[in-house]
Amino acid sequence: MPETADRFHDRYDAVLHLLDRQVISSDGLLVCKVDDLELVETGDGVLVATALLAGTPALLPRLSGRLGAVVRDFWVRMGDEQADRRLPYRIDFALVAELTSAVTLTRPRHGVLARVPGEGGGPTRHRLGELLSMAVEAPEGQRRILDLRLDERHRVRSLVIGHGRPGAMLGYDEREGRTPNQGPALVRTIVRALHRHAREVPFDLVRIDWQEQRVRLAG
Amino acid sequence: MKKLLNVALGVLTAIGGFVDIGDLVTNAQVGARFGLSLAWVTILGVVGIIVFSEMSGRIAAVSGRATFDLVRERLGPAMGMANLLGSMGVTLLTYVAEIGGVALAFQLICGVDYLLLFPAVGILVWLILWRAKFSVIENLFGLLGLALIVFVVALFHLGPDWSQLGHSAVSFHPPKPEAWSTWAYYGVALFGAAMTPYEVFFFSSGGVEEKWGVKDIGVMRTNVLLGFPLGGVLSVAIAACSYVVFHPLGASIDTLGQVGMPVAIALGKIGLAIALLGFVAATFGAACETGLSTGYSIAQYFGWQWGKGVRTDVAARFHVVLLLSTVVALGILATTIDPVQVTEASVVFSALALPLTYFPILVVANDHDYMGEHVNGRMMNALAMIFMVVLTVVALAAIPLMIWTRMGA
Amino acid sequence: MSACAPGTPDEDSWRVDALRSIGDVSSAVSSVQLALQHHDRLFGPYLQTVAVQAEDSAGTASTKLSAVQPPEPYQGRSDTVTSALDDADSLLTDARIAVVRRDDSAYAGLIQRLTKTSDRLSRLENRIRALPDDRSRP
Repeated sequence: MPETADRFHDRYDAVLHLLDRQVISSDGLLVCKVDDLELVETGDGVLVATALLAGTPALLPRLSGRLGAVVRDFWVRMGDEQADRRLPYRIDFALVAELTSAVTLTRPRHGVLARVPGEGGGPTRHRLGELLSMAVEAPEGQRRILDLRLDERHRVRSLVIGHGRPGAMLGYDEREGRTPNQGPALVRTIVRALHRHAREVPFDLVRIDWQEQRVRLAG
Repeated sequence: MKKLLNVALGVLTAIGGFVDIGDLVTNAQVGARFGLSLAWVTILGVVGIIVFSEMSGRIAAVSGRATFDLVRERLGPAMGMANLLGSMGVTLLTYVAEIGGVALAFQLICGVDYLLLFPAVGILVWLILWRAKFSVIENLFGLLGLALIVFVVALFHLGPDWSQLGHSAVSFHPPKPEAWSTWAYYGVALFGAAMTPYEVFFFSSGGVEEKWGVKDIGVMRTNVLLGFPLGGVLSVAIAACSYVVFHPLGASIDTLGQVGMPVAIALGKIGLAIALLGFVAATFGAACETGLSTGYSIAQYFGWQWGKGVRTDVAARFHVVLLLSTVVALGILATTIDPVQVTEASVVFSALALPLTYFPILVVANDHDYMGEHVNGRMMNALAMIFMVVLTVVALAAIPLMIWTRMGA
Repeated sequence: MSACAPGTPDEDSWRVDALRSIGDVSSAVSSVQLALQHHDRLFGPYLQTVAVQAEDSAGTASTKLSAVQPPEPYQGRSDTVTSALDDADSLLTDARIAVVRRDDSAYAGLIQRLTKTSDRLSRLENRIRALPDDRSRP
């Protein structure tokens, strides 16, 4: 039904194109929303997105502020006996068929959501939500991450940093592959003016400190 | 007949926005106190809802995504949650009022107090939402709701002074002794009612239920261009009838029984019977619309399977939400709160949610990734931007006016 | 929907509350009068519902006003208003009883009394409206 192009096997933006999208199974049923993304660091300083994350344990950490923290604590306390209370559901990227206005999977809905395996071997799994909440120390001052630009193999190419919340650009920024001058003109002007100091930073200039919850930009 | 049924969705959506229980009484009240001096607000509301429901309908047709889906996607989970809580509150309160409204309409038919009738009405509404096919719901209540056209007929039979009606319509100020602040409050209430968010939730979700595709954009537009103006016409007709009969008496309207009296006076028992049929159909239809919309909003925020277009067991959580909403609604009605006052309050609060609901629609309707070649044209964008400004003004003015005029007393 | 707590004479404008109550009762009286005048065009249950709801809303309006304490200088006028509203309330009760009993013959008399009450309330409303306010309002 959608005639729009599949972005999953092309370059895309993690926040704008993937996060909070509806996930649909191969039999046309609605599964969940993309509540978060799983990011894994491969050895050579590359950050790769590997899976969709869903469920309350994935969604709640993305609610910011004090109220978000209160809700999270409540959630955890309500299920203290459950070992997997903080573990979200995971859909590996291998199961994703295409990304258009929604994410379509290659398999039917029945039983598709499985929990992330708990503490075990393998590379450390991080979450996009975690990264988005970190403060960025840029030469021009403190910033936030507005978006992650990924290539067709889901590796992070660059970060978009600026003021405001992630996704606040609403797709009005100029970039290759985007139709220029997305309307309405007034909204575009206002959004761009609000984000005139936003810029793209190639990923090789980025140092992420997951322990300290900080991002530093070299150069 | 098939062609006629194609626009049932638009008509039913319009019923919920223009002649639900709150609007039936408010329009009559506005007519009795202000004549047609607020008719322009109704017209403005009609244009506004046409613009935004066309966009949300087009988005649903091209991408298969209904409106609340987009709210979370564009505004993020936190703002989306705030919007969800706000809209759910309003939609649920309206659901309460509509169930009460059906009971009030039945009280006019059989004389039994509505407090004894509403539990049965609630159960009946829930059973229909659970079991009946979506097409049956929209066709039945959409078509029967057209019975309210009897108000237009009654207006002619009342033999009003047309030049006086005309003067009132273009006067743009409240008639003495009404104050500007009350006039403005009712203007805001009428506009908020015309553009209530649950209309676009329902319309876009209904479009997905009907499995609209790109080829159905024409049908979608017919729905919009026929349904909402019809809703506006009915609103104004009710106000005009009330003006002719009640304004000379200096009376104010706060019950459904008063709303129907001009029809009885003009057309006798036959007219009244048709009006009663219209009242039942409109309130029942609005109850279905708001009930379903509570399910649509929550399911579309969390990504759950929703809809009447799939088997009940496949959309289990959606149906549980509908059941819970109905139970909560019946609980609220059991406090003997006046359904009409509930809806009048909820309309004002829904005015607050207007910008947050319509802004994502505007953004997505311009997004080439979503819409391909079916993005908004320049005219559409210009119109939509004008209405965004109006919506924001209304949203900011709603609560202060409500407090200042003590809810339009 | 006016203030939740009864106001003190200095804080609330009794005049505004009185006008609102008189308006509500007056609307109820007019509605019942209209309904009785056209009773042959209304169904029994419809007429009954109108009469019952009018009686209820008038009763609520009168009760609300009696909870508001008038400022000293208005005590006399307050008594006039209260008695006029009480008379209207009992007339609406009579009307409701006649309607429930389907006592058509009583309607003509009721319509006359309702018209008179309507006029009386109207005059009362004008007199109250003409009073100087007891506090300045925006």
